[in-house]
Amino acid sequence: MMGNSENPYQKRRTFFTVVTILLVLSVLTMLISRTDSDAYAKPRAFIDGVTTPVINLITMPIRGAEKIGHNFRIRSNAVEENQHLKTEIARLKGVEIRAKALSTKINRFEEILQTDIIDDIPVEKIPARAVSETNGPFVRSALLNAGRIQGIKPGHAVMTTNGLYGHIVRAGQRSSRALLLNDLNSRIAVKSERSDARAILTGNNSNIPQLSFVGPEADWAAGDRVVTSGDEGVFPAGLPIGETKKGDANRKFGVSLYSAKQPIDWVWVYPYTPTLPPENEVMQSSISEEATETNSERNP
Amino acid sequence: MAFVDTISAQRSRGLAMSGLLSMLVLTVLSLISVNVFSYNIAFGFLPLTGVYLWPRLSDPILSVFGLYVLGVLADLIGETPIGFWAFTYLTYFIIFRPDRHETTSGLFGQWFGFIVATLAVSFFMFVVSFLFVKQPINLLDLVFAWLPVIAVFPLIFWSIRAIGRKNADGSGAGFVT
Repeated sequence: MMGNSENPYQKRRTFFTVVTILLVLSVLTMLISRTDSDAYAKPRAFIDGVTTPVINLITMPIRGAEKIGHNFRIRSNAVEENQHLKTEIARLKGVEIRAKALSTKINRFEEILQTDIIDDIPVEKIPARAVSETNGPFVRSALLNAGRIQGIKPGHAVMTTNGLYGHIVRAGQRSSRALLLNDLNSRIAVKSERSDARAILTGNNSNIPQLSFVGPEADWAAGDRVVTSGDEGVFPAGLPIGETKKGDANRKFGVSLYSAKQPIDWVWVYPYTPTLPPENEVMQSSISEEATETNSERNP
Repeated sequence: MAFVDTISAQRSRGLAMSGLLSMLVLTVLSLISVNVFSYNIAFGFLPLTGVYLWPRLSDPILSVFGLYVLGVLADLIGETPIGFWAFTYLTYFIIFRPDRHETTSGLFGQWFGFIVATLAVSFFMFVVSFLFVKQPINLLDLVFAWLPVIAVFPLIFWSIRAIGRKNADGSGAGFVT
């Protein structure tokens, strides 16, 4: 029979001692994660790697079911959409011709001025599936089924077909974690495509992140297309994000995200090398120079 | 409040292990999110059903150890501050002591109890998020975390009861009978 060696009082005392120790341990670990948010990065990356294949498998039928409604809506408007697309193609043909002419013109100017304007947006994209989205009170993130093996690194931008979705905060071997634009800790340097006015897109755990640091002179208006400015040197400039909503009296503009238009399944990760501050660049080059000198001394 | 001494220690440990196994399954299932009309419905509170319907007469010490480990696992998976779910599971367990409850009430009684218990957890989440994020919690997030789990509770209750009835030995031990 259970517990013949111990009396109920002793058992109760042992139980409450164990519970107290575990509760104290929980509070301590909570305090550590509050002061040092990277303290548990490694175990989290490991767990992400283990759970991603399982979640990928479980969510496959769910993602399929989500698409049924979306596809049904698309198909019901197929004829109208087709006509609209034909008109759009005709219009874009003209735009394409003009873009090609402009590109040739820019190349000519670059040759004359002997400069090279680099296009920030990388050509290479890494496809990944967003297997799970966490939209809790603490964090808004997504688990992707691609990681370091596929070339993903922390800081890389994550895009949907419609616009920017977030950026990588942790990369494991075969999985990675993306922080979404609407997460409370997300801060992205953005600009208005129309006026070039700058601001910071700040996540607020709602579906409409806000523009902050909008100066009194900054020319922002409702309906402006918001894109990354690349000012912080982390993201390439020009990635589409969303459109501004009507601002309030304090010029607080919300941004309705393009990525929120449809359920997220597949995403692209943009492997972009951030711009290093000059002091880091100097440090790196002096380290590599020293290394070269040492090598040449060793192997004359 | 005396501990009930009616089953063998081995059976008691076995019941705790089956409780932990069901919690592990529920923790993995809690990662599923469904997009309904641009709203993300998540099942983050799902493992609480496992604690609420914990096998009766299971080994209490093994149960709390296991709950602590699973809580940390849930925190690692769900991006919550490490220790949050461990603390919640343990508090939930010592307040409700599901391992000692006579589960004579039917679905509606259990459902009502679960709603009240989950509301208490929501309040705790509100307090902790205020301390951690230093900003009032988005109440809509809490509602979307709370409602789906309340909605699927009967399904889990019936599934667990079916398992409990299949493995019943007449002692009243095990999952809800």
